[in-house]
Amino acid sequence: MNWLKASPKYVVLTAVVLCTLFPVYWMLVIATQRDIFSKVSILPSSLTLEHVIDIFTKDNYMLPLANSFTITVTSLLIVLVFGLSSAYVLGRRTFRIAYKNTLLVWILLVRVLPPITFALPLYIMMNDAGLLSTKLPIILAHVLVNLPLVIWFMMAFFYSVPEEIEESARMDGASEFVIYSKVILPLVLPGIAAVTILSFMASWNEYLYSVIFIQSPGDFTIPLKLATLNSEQELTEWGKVASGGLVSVIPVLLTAVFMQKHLMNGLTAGAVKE
Amino acid sequence: MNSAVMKKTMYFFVLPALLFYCIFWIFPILKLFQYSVTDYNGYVQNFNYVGFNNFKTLFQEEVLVTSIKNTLVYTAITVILGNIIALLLALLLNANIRAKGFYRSAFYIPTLFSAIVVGFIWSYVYMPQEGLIASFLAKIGLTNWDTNFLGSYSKALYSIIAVDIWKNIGTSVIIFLAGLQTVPHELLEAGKIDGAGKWKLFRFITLPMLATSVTINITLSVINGLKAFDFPFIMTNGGPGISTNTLIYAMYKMAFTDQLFGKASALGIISFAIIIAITIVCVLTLNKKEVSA
Repeated sequence: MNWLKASPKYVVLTAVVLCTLFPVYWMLVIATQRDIFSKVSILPSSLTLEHVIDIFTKDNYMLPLANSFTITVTSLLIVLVFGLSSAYVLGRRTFRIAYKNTLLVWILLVRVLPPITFALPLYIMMNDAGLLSTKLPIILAHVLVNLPLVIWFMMAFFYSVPEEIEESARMDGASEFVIYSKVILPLVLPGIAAVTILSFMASWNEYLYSVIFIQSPGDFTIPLKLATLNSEQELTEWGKVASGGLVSVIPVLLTAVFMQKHLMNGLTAGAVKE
Repeated sequence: MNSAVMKKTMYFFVLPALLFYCIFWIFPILKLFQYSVTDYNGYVQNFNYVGFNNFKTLFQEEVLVTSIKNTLVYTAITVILGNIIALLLALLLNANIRAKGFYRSAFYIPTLFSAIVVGFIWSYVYMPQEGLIASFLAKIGLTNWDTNFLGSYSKALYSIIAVDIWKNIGTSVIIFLAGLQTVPHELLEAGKIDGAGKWKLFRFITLPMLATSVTINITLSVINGLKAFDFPFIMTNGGPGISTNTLIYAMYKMAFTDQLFGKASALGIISFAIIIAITIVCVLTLNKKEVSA
């Protein structure tokens, strides 16, 4: 009887899961079928890896993969170096409340203001400096949007480290930098892991800034490459775009699966009143 | 060391980030105000100051009202509908359900994909003849339905909004679930003993305990909605006509397609004002609600 009582819940949940996953499954079908328009069937009739091989051999898909990787990792490193040290100071109890509110407003502003409001003038600046043909502008843009997130997120973690730990290290004659890097940072590693995953996912999939700041095809990131595959030819190459999309999700999917605990911590931090 | 005073050297820890923002964020935004009163096209260095002409032209054009209206509709629907669906799913999952982890992960999968991939999948779903929805409707014999979702003036915006909800619902579900796990069981039991029905238990015990997750979810989806750009850009190109132009999309098009940087900057200033106003209202109301709950 219990089973009967619970079954409507499962019906609803399963229906929603079907709606959520069917488009994704369909992409898998498109990516592995030779000719999608001749026979549209639920089960792929002719399994092939032709499209996946094609994007690597004919469309040089390694290049955008490498570009996305470079841009994501470089911006992430800069964000962590700047962000962690700022959050360390700002998250301290002794930091004046007045500054804290100003900071809060600033962080909120960076998140809510239309990204294009600083991207337009920044584009001009970069153009004047002749840097638009490099990866620098897009890395800068990623740093700009991810930095406030890291600072905001990490402040709470630094705040939870007892100040006595710092004091005793100071007594032992450790310099400020040693206290920070050798004593405090290892204590907030779980927070660093969570925020790294969130920023990585945001950078890897980012689209608007890439459209604005990446000019030369040699610097194209995955989303831009997929967009060209999607529109360049008169007939969209569905198979290629689908397999390219699937390949691009692998790093993110692996991160989400193997770092699930940290990802969950990142997503739900602050969602629970303490 | 007096712990109420910070060592001066500590300021060096914040300095890099601060400098970075002054140069690459505050300075560009000040430039935006300057460009908004010029006829700058973004390429030729000579430009003239034209006063408030850009603003005047904008107020006379349809695109301003349409893109403001679309952005507000987009935000309202993703915030209200997205959060209600997410909350219902979280409530279902929070009950004694087997394979809870599986469902939760399944809802989160669309979030992992980039907007371009999501836009691509859904263009296929929405295709007028061969698309998933059209084929499905044809199979069950509903052939006289209009299946031109992205090409119709009345349906395109809502079709895009549905995609946005589909992509982002997983995050909201996870946040609501985390909140639900903090609702003390004893409180619900006590409510039950006092004879409260399911709705009353939810309204007076669960919902107030969820206040923090509600605030976070609403804030996140308001921010996301006000910045809507990816799907109009990828799926409809703002069309048909200007029917799916959002503020950000309209700005992008003015600056980079029409090469009207001055006018785009003026639109930037206007959306600046609108978005700040909305955010302030949201933050104030949510804070008040959270405190009183």
